[in-house]
Amino acid sequence: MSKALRLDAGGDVAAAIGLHEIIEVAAGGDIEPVPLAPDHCRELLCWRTEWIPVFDLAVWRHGPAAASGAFLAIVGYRDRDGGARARPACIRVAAFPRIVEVSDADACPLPEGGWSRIAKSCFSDGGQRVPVLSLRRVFAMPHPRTGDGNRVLRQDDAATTAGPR
Amino acid sequence: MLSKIPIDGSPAASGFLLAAFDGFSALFAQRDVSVIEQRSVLANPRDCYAEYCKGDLSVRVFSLSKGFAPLAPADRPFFFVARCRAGAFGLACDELQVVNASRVSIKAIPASLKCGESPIEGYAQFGKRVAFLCSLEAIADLLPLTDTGVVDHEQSIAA
Repeated sequence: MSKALRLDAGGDVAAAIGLHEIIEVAAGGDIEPVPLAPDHCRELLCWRTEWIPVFDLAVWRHGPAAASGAFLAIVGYRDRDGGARARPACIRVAAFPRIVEVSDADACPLPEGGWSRIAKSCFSDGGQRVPVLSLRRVFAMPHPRTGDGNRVLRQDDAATTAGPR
Repeated sequence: MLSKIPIDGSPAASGFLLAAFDGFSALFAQRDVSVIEQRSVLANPRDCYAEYCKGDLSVRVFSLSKGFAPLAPADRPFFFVARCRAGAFGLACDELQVVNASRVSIKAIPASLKCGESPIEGYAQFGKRVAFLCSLEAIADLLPLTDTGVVDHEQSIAA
């Protein structure tokens, strides 16, 4: 058994990260909108002395009309080249993240909807499929800007191979 | 800290212009700016621009929305004229100041916030305020600099 941190973004949207990737959880902060940024990643959060990107999981999944979470999960990720220091970033969630236990038997295919772009594996928790995010893919790669959250991503679904690692 | 830069030539400035638009602040390389003026000298107001004419220089002056769409200068008190390969144009704003390059630390926009059509190349922090470093070339692509879309090369920088 291993442990992961489950991030619930509201409704049917949930994902997970490693315990080592969470830095802290905030309930608010100074937000600066970024003009012309994608709907699901269009804010900078003032955290300590830095401005960090905010990824809205609910909007990414269901489009700009989705309700954004009130909690801000501050996470650390590394760029492709590794880097000496993890870069801080933020994921909006609707509830305080919680630790879940995961076993190999819980592995399952990624759900449809473009998750393979930002997730590396998936497990079942309480009957729900929970993708495990690759934070590098979430923050260190550009994502197409869509008016309807996932429209462009759905066009790619047929070409992607979903499945457990 | 408003600074007026004469048209007829000064040593190329190495700082930045910090401009406040409708709901956001932008940084521009000062070397690309040739004129800073007050709105009162603008003429011939149109739907999304007004005109600035002085000597041989005749350019359209716009303001910018949050999505970088062109707006009429309206009541914005200041404007500056920028020159780029696409042509010369003006941008009207609510606040305008020259910032020394030593005061500015530009950070790259995270990849997840990037969008192909965006003129934003980076950002800098000024106290609690964030200003976005913008490409004037990319902004020029979003503006109707002429009625026909043909660039007036006499008013653009030689490549």
